[in-house]
Amino acid sequence: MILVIAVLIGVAAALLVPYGLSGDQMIYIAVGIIAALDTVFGGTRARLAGKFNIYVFISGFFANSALAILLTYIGNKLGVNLSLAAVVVFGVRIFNNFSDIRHILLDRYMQKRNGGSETSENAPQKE
Amino acid sequence: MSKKYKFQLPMAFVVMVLSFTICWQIKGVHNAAGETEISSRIDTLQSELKSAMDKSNSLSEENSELKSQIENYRQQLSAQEQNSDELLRADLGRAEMFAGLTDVEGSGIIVELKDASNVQSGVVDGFVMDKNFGIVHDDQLLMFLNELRASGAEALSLNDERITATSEIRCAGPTVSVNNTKCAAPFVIRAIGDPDTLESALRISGGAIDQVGLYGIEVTVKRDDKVKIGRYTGATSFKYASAAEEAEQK
Repeated sequence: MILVIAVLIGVAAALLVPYGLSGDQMIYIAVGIIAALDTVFGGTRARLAGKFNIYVFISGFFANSALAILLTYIGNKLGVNLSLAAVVVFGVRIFNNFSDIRHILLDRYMQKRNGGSETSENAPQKE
Repeated sequence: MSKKYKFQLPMAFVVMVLSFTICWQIKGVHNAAGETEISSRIDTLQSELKSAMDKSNSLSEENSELKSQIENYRQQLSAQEQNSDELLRADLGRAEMFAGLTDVEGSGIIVELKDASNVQSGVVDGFVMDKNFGIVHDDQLLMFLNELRASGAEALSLNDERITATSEIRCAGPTVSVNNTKCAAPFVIRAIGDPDTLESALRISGGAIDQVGLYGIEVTVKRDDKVKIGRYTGATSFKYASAAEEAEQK
């Protein structure tokens, strides 16, 4: 519920902001978006694995976004497309996190159906 | 319950930021007229254009300043020596006209050269054709101008750039550079002279028009009793050359 409200607030704020983005800034925002997406998936996974820590989560969000944007900036100055590095790394991490989430959820489902007698092979830790 | 909020609140914050940035980004893409791929290129081109225009403005300001200075000097001169310098000033006027520093008009022709409209690459009628053949090239323009000069043109301009003693006509990528100004097709050559002579010089069999016609370049020639040709507006200072004092040497 809170999450839905948060999404709506974000969308509304974006629509209300009068400034547009120019082409130069877009790549920074794009990299930031990918970093934030990674944080969301990472946080969800940690939550499901029961390892969620608010400090790790928030610091990861800011630090990852900042690093990604910094990399992009340096890449721009050097003439090397370093934003690709951020995109690739975060992309891989998003997929990894997502597959972990999938595994955990499937595991739980299986357990419930089989009365807890069977677990899948690469089961991550349980709560 | 409190554990649940411990997760949900920070997550809500991040999700909010995420949705905000995504929407912002999408909005920005829309604002850029949906041309994301080339928007950065447009940006750089715009800034280049802006700086070039700034430079051009400041230079033309400087130019007009200098011109008014010259005008001042001339007025002072004519005020001082009204009678004695009549001849000298007539001489100066003729020299300026010769150098292309004054607007001139007179009978002449206007020639327009357009890139060929449909040129296929590959072999056409036994000739190997390339798309580049259908584009008006610098050497073709030079051929036209040279032909017009040879047949007595007294003043010439290409796309409103006066052809002077120091004018170049040179390939500059997809454009042609004249007086260090880049011109693009269609090219309009104005020439003042005897219209009959000028036109027949271009239309002579195997001449300039025939030669570019091979490549499909379209040429139109228009006669006009009052062809106007503007003056040369670029820099006129000499950096290396100075008048040699021949009389004293000998």
